[in-house]
Amino acid sequence: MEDSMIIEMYWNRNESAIEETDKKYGSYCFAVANNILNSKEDSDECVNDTWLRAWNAIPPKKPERFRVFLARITRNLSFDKYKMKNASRRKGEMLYILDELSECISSGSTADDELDMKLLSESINSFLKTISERDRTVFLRRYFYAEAVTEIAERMDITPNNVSAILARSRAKLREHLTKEGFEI
Amino acid sequence: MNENQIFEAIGEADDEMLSSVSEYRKQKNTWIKIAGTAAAVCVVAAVILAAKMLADNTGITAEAPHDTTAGNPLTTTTVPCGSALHSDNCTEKNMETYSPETKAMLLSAAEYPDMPRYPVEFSEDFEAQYDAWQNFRNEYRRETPKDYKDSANRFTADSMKVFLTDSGNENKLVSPVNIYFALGLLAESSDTSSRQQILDLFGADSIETLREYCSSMWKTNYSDDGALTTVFANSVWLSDSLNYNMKTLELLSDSYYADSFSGNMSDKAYTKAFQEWLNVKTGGMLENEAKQLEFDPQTVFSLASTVYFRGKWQDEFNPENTQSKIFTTSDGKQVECDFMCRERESYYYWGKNYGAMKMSFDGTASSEMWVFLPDEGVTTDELIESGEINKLIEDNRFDYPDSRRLIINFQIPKFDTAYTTDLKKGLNELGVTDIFDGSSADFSPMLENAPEGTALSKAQHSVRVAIDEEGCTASAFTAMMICGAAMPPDDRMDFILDRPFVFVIQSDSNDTLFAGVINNPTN
Repeated sequence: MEDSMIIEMYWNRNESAIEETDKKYGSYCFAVANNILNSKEDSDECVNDTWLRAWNAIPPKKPERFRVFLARITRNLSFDKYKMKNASRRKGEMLYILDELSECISSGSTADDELDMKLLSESINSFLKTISERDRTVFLRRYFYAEAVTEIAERMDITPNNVSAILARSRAKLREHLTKEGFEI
Repeated sequence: MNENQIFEAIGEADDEMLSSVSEYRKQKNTWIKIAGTAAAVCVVAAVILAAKMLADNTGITAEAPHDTTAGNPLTTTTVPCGSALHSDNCTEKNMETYSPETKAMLLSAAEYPDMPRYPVEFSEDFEAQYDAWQNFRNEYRRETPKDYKDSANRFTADSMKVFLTDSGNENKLVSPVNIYFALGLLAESSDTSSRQQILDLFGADSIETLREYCSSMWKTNYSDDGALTTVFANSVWLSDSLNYNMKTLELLSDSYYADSFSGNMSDKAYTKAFQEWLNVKTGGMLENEAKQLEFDPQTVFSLASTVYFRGKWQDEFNPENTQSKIFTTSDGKQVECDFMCRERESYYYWGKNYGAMKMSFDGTASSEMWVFLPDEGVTTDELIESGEINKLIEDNRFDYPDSRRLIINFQIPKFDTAYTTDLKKGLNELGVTDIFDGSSADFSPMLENAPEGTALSKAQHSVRVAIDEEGCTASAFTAMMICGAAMPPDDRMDFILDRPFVFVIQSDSNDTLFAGVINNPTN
């Protein structure tokens, strides 16, 4: 079913909208959640929560890119859940991903409660626009969709070494960008 | 800040960027990486002639004997030895490729930045290489004055309108940065209204401001790192029988990286050295055009500026399927030429009267060639004059609303085209007139006692652009493309440049290096 028809169903408060969404995007959203959580049970829960969030958001929203709209919800719910886990239960790709991202900040930096997350997001968005399309695709596959390096290499038909090099370069650039933009890293 | 916060912030990435991620298709293995190249080059040479015979003022005649082999040519000039311009001080890296005769005429060679190589992505010490490369760029590309972009963009728009329209059935090319540098050199060499008209054209409130603009243009665009080549060069050619102002020459050397030479304008060897310099700086791409440039005894001094560009496409083409297809020229003639083709996901842009795409060059973030196809019934002149092209290329294209990511069957004819024009008429249109007029031209910063009637007599701009690639994707669409103000179709479309189109080559700092109108790719 076309996305526009599914969204129409949400607007008409037709509960089959959720069923159709699940049919079309269930496995996709599960993959996004599972990359982060590495647990079937937790991922299923996040996907179900995603449908609920979507139901509450549409209307008034009318997402233009429904797939991305859903992926973003799943991803962010999954990360919330990930953070709530005990450190000992955290496993999988996320450990590496966060470790890599820590290169963008000074070692030992801690969460900054005063940090304006909106500004930070905007700054990262503007950074992503300065790098090449290929590098951006690799970056977002890794740090938005939390995909494994080998998976990215496979999807993009480049070597894992190449993926790692692209990521390292982008992180170095991001670190520099954030410094320049006045973030205390 | 910690890594969790960064991960969360990445979660707010733009929809458009995210959807392009999921659409970025795995490239087929059959898409062998073949180097696609784009090479372009351009020369401006301005020769200043005395309206009256130079001999009247200097006692030198065209037949004046001159022995170029007699020791250091500096001894025959009025340039004091031991000055900052003396060739002893030169770094000769930039001069390595010249013949001994040309070197002998050299007063000073500019020092070029020694740029670290672009890192090899698979190498062990990638990080170290990357740091070296990035640090150099950061240091070199320091902040530009705030009005610089406006000045450069406005001149690009002006020069496209003046030099690319009325193309009839010929291909026309222009290099805005090249003319910008050449006029910068001229402004430094002139004064009063001659200088003021150039400052006005560039929107610079003083010569110091223009100097900063030129320096920014050089530093933010210059690249010679093995991945992308954008090399500029300037030079000053002096007559060994006249007194020049050393301060100005030093300034041209320091701020414009200008090499300076001194010789006898009547001597064929001096002209030969001049042509050699042009050829070396332009990778030999404009030999025929350089041949036409000769000094004559009345030449008081000459300024030359070059741009040499070479890039490799980031997205390569299948080598097996270049197709011979029909291109309809502006006068309705049908010519057969080789079309390079590919089918992949790309952004398609549209405006009031055109559809556009860009092809990125490898190695840097956003050096690219844009191609603009006017809608059916719209001429390239109308498209250029509407200023719509500049709206897109000046803007941050990510914020440009009328774009969509699609699977595009893209076909573009190969071309290799050269164009030479006298800039005088165009510059007059842009308000630069006095420097061409012997009664008002003022070259006092260069020459304290310029021969009476000295004026700019020649301003030749030669450009050559070649794009070349092997192959295209195997599949082709037969449906006629839709483009222009109409929204493109949902998922795939054809974008076939089989009628006159406009292109723009931008540096990774978004300055326009070259622009052109292709009316007939076989010319």
